[in-house]
Amino acid sequence: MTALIGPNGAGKSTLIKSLLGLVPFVTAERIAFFGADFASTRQRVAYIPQRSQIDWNFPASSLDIVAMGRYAQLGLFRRVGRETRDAARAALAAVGLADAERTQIGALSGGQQQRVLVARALVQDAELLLLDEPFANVDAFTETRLAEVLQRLRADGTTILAVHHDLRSVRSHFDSAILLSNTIVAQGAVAEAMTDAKLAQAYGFHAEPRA
Amino acid sequence: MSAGSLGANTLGVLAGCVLFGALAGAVGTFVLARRRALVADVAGHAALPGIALAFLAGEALGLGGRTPWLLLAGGACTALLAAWCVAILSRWRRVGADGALAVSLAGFFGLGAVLFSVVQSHPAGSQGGLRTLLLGSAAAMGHSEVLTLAALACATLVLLVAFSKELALVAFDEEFARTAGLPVRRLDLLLTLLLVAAVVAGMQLAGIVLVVAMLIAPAAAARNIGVWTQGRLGGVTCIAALIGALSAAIGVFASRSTAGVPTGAAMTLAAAATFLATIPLARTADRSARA
Repeated sequence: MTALIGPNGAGKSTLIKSLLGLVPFVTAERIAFFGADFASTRQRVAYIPQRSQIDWNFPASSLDIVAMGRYAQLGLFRRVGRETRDAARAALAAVGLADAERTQIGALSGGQQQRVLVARALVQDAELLLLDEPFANVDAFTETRLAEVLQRLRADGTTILAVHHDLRSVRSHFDSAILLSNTIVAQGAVAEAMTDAKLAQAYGFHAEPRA
Repeated sequence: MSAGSLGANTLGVLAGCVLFGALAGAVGTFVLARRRALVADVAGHAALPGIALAFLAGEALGLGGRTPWLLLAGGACTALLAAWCVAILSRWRRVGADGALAVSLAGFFGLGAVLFSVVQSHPAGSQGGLRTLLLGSAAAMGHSEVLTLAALACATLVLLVAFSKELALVAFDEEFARTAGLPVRRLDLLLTLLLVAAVVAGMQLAGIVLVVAMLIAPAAAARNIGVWTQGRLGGVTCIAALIGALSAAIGVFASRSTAGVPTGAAMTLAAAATFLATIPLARTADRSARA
């Protein structure tokens, strides 16, 4: 479970989006997921966008949204059947929202909405989870709850990479970190990557007073 | 004429209007969800040059300028072209989406006005005035127009139902849809085609200026009701179709009972009034959700 951290404009979200082909990128190096390109491995990768990018007034229940995680696998002209609904129910239960399956998404709290998005990734049975700011604008209770869900997934063998902005909570939620400031400044275990010197380098503040 | 003594022609007009109202409401729900409401407005206005060209082409080819399917096809072509212009211009940041919409709408409408002056100088074009097209004239709808509209409506609704799952996902979360491997561009093109189909189906009834209201107002009203009833997309789409159909029927009866009231204007007014009436429902639901 890795945090992608860095100052505003460091390119954290852009990095994730360019990995997934959502924004055009220019790079000499090849992007590979599980040793192959994204087009042939997208089933194994789940993306959870920032909650604020989504229209939460969309008329749908929690269960509808979670079922969307299976749409691509279902294919064209196939309706959502019992099997998909059961998988979606199980995913909602896994994020602690079993009793909210019929609730309209607009009536959920911010933290619940975030958990619905995580559940949508769960029904994909992905091995790699890419999250953009999952802890943004959620209350402390939800943050703990969400971290527990992600840690359980990690224990089951899912790899997790999350854009994260709160330096104080990196240590409690993540075991490794990538420090980004246009380029990778440091990466490794949280304690190694987040030294004062590296943080100063990434965030551009200096320990020594200027002469 | 009272509502009780409807002639065969009126029944045809009523059937055509109700069918269009239902179609516009259903398509409008997806258009609104994908935030393409103003593209519908552009498509309506941009149908004008296509209609003028189709009229001239019909006369030149000896089919007659008023061949319904030719007029619809002509309107659809320029409406699609305008929607494509919006998409291209929006990508250019210096213009932005709103600028692209405004320029496309006015540009195509202006072209249509110029072409229409040519049509009206044509001997066969003098009776069919521009005003009729702008505000619609449902009463002038004949048998073949109703049948053309019915065919268009059926095809559009079948496509809408067939792709509703994918269209819903793209509307709700485009980025996720792309990472899941859905062909987002082709689905957007499909939605634009459905939108244009609904617009050209309704342009003779509601007029090219007002047709956007029949797509968006019932959909927006249904969304308000959806908030209130915890509705889901399928239910909201059906409610929108119902509101569209009822508004259309009200429009037909209003213009029959009061001389001089255009059917298109009356039906859009009914749809807009329904939307206004549903705002308190959504507000109440929002307030109780926050409490």
